[in-house]
Formats: sequence, C-alpha cells, structure tokens
Amino acid sequence: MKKDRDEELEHEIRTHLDLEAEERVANGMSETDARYAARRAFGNVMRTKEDVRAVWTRRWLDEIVQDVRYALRTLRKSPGFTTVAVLTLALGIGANTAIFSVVNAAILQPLGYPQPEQLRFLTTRSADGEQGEVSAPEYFELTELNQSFSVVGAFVVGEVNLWARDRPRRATRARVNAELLEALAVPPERGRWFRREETRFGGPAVAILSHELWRSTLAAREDMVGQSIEIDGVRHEVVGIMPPGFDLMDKRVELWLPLQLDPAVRQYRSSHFLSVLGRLKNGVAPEQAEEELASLVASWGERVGVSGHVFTPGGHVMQMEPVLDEIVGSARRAFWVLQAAVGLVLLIACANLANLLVARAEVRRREVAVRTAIGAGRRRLLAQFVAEGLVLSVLGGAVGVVIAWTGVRALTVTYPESIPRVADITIDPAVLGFTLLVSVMTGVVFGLAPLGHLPEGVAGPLLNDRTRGTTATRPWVRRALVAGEVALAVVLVTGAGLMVRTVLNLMTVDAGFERSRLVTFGVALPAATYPTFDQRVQLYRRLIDRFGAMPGIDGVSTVSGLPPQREHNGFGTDTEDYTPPPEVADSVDYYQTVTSGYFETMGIPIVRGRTFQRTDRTGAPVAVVNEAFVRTFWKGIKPIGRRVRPRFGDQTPWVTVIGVAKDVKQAGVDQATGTEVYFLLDQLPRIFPTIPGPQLGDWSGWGHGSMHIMLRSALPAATLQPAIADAVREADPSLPIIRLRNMDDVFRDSVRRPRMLMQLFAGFAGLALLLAAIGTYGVLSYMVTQHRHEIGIRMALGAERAIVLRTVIGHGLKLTCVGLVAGLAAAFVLTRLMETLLFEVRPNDPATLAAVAALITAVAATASLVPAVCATRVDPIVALRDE
Amino acid sequence: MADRKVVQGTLELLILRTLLFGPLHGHGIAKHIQRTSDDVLQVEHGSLYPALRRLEKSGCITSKWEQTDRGREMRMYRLTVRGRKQLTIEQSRWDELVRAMARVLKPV
Repeated sequence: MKKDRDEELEHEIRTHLDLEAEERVANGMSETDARYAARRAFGNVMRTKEDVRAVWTRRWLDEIVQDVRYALRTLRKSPGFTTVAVLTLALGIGANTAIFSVVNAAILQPLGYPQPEQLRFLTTRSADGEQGEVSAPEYFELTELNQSFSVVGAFVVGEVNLWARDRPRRATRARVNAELLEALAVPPERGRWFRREETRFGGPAVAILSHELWRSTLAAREDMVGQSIEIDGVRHEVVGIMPPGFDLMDKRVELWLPLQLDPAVRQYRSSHFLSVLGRLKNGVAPEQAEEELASLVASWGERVGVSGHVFTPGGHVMQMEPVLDEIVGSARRAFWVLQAAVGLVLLIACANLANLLVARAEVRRREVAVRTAIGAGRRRLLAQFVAEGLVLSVLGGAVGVVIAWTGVRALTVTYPESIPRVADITIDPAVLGFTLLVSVMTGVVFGLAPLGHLPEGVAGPLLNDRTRGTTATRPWVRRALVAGEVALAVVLVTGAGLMVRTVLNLMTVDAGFERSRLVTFGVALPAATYPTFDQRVQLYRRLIDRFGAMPGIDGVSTVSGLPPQREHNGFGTDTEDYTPPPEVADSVDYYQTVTSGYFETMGIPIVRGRTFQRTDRTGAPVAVVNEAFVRTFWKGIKPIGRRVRPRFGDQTPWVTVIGVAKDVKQAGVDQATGTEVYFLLDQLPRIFPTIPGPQLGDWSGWGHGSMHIMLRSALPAATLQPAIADAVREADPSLPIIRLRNMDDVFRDSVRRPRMLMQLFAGFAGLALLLAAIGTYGVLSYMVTQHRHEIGIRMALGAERAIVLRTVIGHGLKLTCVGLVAGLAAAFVLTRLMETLLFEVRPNDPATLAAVAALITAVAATASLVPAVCATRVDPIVALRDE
Repeated sequence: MADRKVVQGTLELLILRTLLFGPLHGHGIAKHIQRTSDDVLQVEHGSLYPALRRLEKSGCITSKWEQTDRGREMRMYRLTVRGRKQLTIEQSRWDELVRAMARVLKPV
C-alpha cells in the first residue's frame, strides 16, 4: 500500500519536473538549464516526499512532538509562571502520592500471606456489643466443632525480657501454637516452624526469631538456628528465623514462642485472652463459614454440654471478619478522609493553575489569533493547550514524586505507631501509576480550562477584541474558579478546625489524676528468676525504697495497669447488695493492683472513705473502688464497708471496700471510664490464695510479673534516666527499663492518631489557604490592571484612596463570600464523614464554623490588600496616557 | 522582485480557489497560482504536494490518474462539494483576517 503511494508520488513528481522543464525549453532555455531550473522551482524533492508521507502516516505523532516542543519553548520563556505552576502541582501531586502510598500499603494491599482472603480473625462479642478475645474452652470447642476451617490457630501477643549482647532488652513476642503458623502458611527463612507437640502443655523452650530481631539485636549470626538465647531468664533454643517483614496482626512481633496452654485453662470459660485466626478450607466461601459459625453459636451449649457463659444468638456470640479489617480497623476511615482532604488540595491547585493559564491565555490572545490565522485549527489549538497542561503536570508529577518520597519517609518517621502496616509503605508501581493518572488528569483538566475561556476559534473577533480594548471575554470563569478554591479551602479548614478541637478536647480530658510532673517506667520480673510472689514484692519494695530516698523525687508508687490506656482485664465479680439483671454480665471492667501511696503519688482524689495504709499490708483484705463502680452497682447505696468478691475459684474471700476514688481513664481518654477495683499488692496472696498466674501463664497479668513505677518529680524522664538505670541495675542487672517516659508523653502517645490526623489536616488546610489566597490575589491584581484606566479617571475626578481601597477589597470579599457560603454548605455535608474521628465536637460545630469563616475572611482581606494598595497607587496621568 | 513565500494554511485556500475553475494536475495548479498572482506568490512547487494530500485526506478534493491528450499519465485533482463549502468558509475567514491584520499593523 505504502509502496504504491510512494511510486505514485514518485511518478507525479517526475511528470511535474518534466512539464516544467519542457515549458522552460519552449521559452528558449537549454535542456540542462531547464532541468536545473525546474528542480529549483520545485524545491527539495526529498523533503517534499517526507512531508507527503507525514500527511499519510506520522501526522499525529509529529504534531504531538511539535506541540510538546512548542509547549516547552513557551514555558521556558516564562520561567516565573512555570516555576509557580510546577511547584503548585508538585505539592498537590506529591501530597496525594504520599497519602495514597499509605492508603495503598495499609488498606488496599492484601496481607503478605499466601491466599490472605482465606484468613479470618475470630472474636467474641458480648451482649453489650463489646468485641473481645476468645477463652480457651471456646477456642478448643471451635476447633473440634467447625467444618469450614482447614486449621484454626491461637496466639497471645505480649512482651518478654530478652538478654542479647550482654544487655537486657524488652521485645514483643507472640505465643503461638503450631496451628497458627500452619494457618499463616509462611515458611521460615531458616530452620523450621514449631511442631504441634512443641506447642502443647509441658513442651520444650524453643523460639523462632523475626528476621529483623535476628539482624539487629542478634547481629545476624549465621549459626543462629540451633543456638540458645535467654528469654525471661530461661534458655530457649532457636529453631527458626522468619522471613523479612513477616508479622502478625500488625503487632510488630519480634519473637515467636510456643503457646503451651495448661489443660486446666479449659475450665476458665469466661477468661477471654486468646486471639484466634483460622484459614478457610479451599472452596469454602466466607459466607458459608459465617453461616456455619452462626448455626454453631445457636446450639453451642447443647453440642458441648455446658451451660452458663455459653454462646447464644443475640447475646454472647463468636464472630469472624477478614484479618485485614481487624488490622486496619478505625484507621480506614481516617486515611480515606485524609486522602479526600489531600484530593481537595489538588483540586485547589488545579483551579489555581487553570486560573493562571486563563490569565496567560488572555495575554496570549494575539498569539492565538495569529496562529489561527495561519492555519491552526481549533483542534490543534486545543492540542497545544493540553500539551502545555500535560508538560506542566508531568513536570509537576516528577517533582511531586520526589516530594512524595520525602513525605512518605517523614510520615513513617513521625508517625510510626499511628499508621497500620507502616513497614509496607513504599512508592511502588501502583502508587506511581496513581501519580501518573493524577498528573495526566490534572494536565488535561486545567489545560482545557483556558480554551473553554476563548471564544469560538475564529481569528477575527479575537483580534478585534484586543483593538477595542475591552476587558476579559468571560471574567466569570476566573471568578468562579477563585470562589471554588475558597469553597474547597473552607471545607479543608473546617476539617482541620474540627480535628484541632478534637485533639484539644482529648488533651484536656480530665483523666482523673495529675499528669504533669509524673515520670513512669515499667519493670517485668520473669517467673524463672522470681518464682514466688514474695520475691517479686520484695524487688518492687526495694525499688520503691530506693527511689523514695532519691533527691528530686517527691513520691513513688507502683501500679499494674498504666492509665489512661491499658488492657481490659475484668472478669465476673460478686457484689454485695447487687443482683445483676438477666442477660447483663456482672463483670468488673478493670482490676488494678497498687502499692500504698498510689493515690497520693498520682494525685487521684479519694471522694469517700480512705486509701490504703501501711497497716493494711498485714490487715484484713480491703479494696478501693471507683465512682463508676458505685454508679453501676451501688447506686444510692453507701459503698464504704460493703464487700466484693472476684469469682476466681472457691477460696476467694469477700473483700471490704474502704474508699471510693475518682474515676481514672483506663480505656483511653476518649472512652467512658469502666468499673474498677483496686487491691493492695501486699494483700494479693490473701485475696487470691490460688494466684491465677501459674495457670494462665504470663499473659493474664495476674502474677504481677510486671508493674509500672510511678515517680512524682519536677525532673523530666531524660534527667532521671541515669539514676533510674543505676537503681534498676543495682536491684537486678538482667531487668530492662521499659518505656521510661513523662506522663505527658504517655498522654500524647495515647492520642497519637487524632494528633496525626490533626497535623496532616492542618498542613493540607494551610496549603489550601495559601493557594486560595494566591488565587484571590491573582484575580484581583488582574482586575486592577484591567481597570487602571477607570481607576485613574475616578482618582482624577477626586475619588479618595480609601474608596478605591474599599472597592477592590470589597470585590475580593464578595468573591470570598460566595466561596464561603458554598464551602460552608459543602463542609456541612462532608464533615459528617468525619463524625467517628471527632471527640466531643459535632461536625457542624457553630464555633468552629464561625472561626473558619473569620479566618477565611481575614486571609481573603489580606490577599486583597496588596492589589488594593496597588490600585490606590495608580497615577491618573500615567493611566490615562497609557490608553 | 523578491519571492513571497506563501504562508501555510493559505496554500490550501489558493489550491481550492484554483480548482474552482476545473480539474487540474499539480504542475498546472502551481503555474495557475503563480500566473494569477502576477508572479508575486512564488509557490515552491514541492510544498504543493503535502498540501494536496492534506486536502484529499480531509475530503476537500479527490484525485484520479488520467491520460492527457499528449499521452501522459497525469494525476488530476478535482474539487468536491465539501471542498466548495470549505472554500467559502476559508475565503470569508481570510477576508476577515486581512481586515484585522490591516488594522493591527496600521501604525497608531
């Protein structure tokens, strides 16, 4: 086909040259001269052929190259515009890419296990909707009854003391059974999994290391497998090392130990402490498994032959969900909201750029007119605008990737604890694809904007317009863009404002104690080196005495569960003069063990009765309860002197309540306070003659193998650190100091996700404000330039500067008002999506909305001020002469 | 007299205008443009062919190989209905441009 065309062209050109030559010969030229002249008249034959071929084939490609070249050339000619445009875009695209990296890694990417969709996380739900772990009998019964799962594993995550490189260190460990490893189905990098018999009661002391722990703490020793390491004072043989990045429920597990459940725990039906994870059989759909579980729950009691605390439909039930849902949980909404917020920032950036390009298009009307005149069709002009937009957005995207890369690093360093699956976050092909898509879309969108602003692509009117000196053809386009920017900024600033309010509310929640000038750290005493309760109490006492005598420390005490956020550890409790209504569990939510002086050290007010005293150490068993306890169980009844009894075996005595303490937060500052009972550490052996610790192992927290030391001191943790390290080393050099922190930092940590949201939101809102301000400024300065003549005349006629100033600022504020109204309306709808992320502030909080309106108006007024002042400086004479 | 290069885009207009009087081959078109503009517009003959192809592609003209009286195989170009319409559009557009250019270029 192409050959024919080429031959035809060849023939046509040859005939043409022949004819021309013949004509010249006829006019008296020599044959040779005529041929030469004919060729000269024709021009470059080769180029002609190429040009013709281009019409056939490469036209569109050539045009693209041409358009891009042209775009690059024009952009190079205005470096100021190009820099602003590329940076604006880069910020928008970079921020979007960074947040999308997080969304992608944390929410969208499947978990790194084989066939992760088969994995289900199993939990229990109490009648009041509280999600909880599974008790040992429930777990065993599930494994025996179910038909849907190929294997169901159990695990408990906690911490251990690890002796490595001649130093003690605290490490996160998961006690897992062999079934769990089978369910996860990830083979170890070296060595082997636990065998099933190793994860039974009385099994051997074996351990599997995470790749990361092996590399960092154990110096990546090649011969690690087969060696032994000391964990909680016991030598464990290392049997395997897991591959890099292998984790469980995002707990950042460093060490895997066998879960060796004592058969005796099968009697503790209401002691929920196991996390349970199952893998569905091949070909079993999740819905099928859920149906089966529901039917099991319906007849659980019959099947296992028990009554009391057994699953019943609508009451205490077992449920399942995809593992990823459990991991991401509440973070999902937070990150989608962030993604939406950062998307709005990009929209504002686009609006700003569209505005810049419209302004440029107005300046370039003559250029467009001339190009139309010399044959550029509307399609070509369009292509050129899009090419310019694309070149800008691709440049912006490229710089944006750099910004995103920096941003992701900053995010993971700043918020390592607040982002799920933080180790998985990378800028991978999916993210780059996203960036490319966003870049191209923005390019097309704002590249087309100025064209829409041009009248139908006819040269005449354009040139005419200019000569008549009229103002912009469609000024409303730019104004609408700016009003839109303001509206989007309003939405973002409102979101940021609500988050600020939320964090402020969280930070000022009365947690029930004086958090400033309080330093805390933990010590954990392994059962191997502290086998008896007395030995543990002795060590705590030694530390308390040592710190009590230390200069700069005004008070010292210990507590088992660190407020304001700690593990739920309640269980069924008998309470005098209280009969629980049917279907309501009579559990106390939190049990707390303290040493004397705790309430004084913490500054927790005692609202009734008294606190523990030294004489109580050897006296009759006594307890302090919190206000929530009294409200729940003894409403209207005098609590002092009444008795409670934890249902933990038959030998537990009744314990007399001696005081009521003010409510202290335990489940987090944003949660309601649960019922709480305080015991004195020294009395525990008498309250629990059979301390449940040995039966339940170290996960129950009941052996008091670990306590938090509270120090009341004006000195910060960093200053106290050497003295604390000395004291602990002197008491026992094998004990690591666990999380030595100021209490203020504990609080800050406990609200780290809202804080992260607030900070990122505030950053995006700031960016949005800046962009909207630039947009307002741009439109107004353009307007002032356009109306110089008019302003000049007015001033010549005696208009005062103040009036000119007011007029221009008024124009700015009018635009802002339109944007503000639209923005508040949008915010009213959109902020509802944030409702679950807020704390004690409603999405349409009037105070926040008012503050946002005030802020936006102030920013708009400031942005209008510069062009307004410029307008007052218009020299009437110069302005008039100009025209 | 210095050669006046024909600006791109106008060449198509000139070709359409030339073909209004009847079918013609490439060389004939070139000659006609030159002659009717009193040799002011020097069409580089080679540039004619890409323009012809563009017009053909957009459906303004068609072409056919024909035998001339002198026994030559010639490719003859012919105006289509669409080409006629395009010519009137382009012509008015051009007139407008000329007027506009004159105004712009006129010293103030």
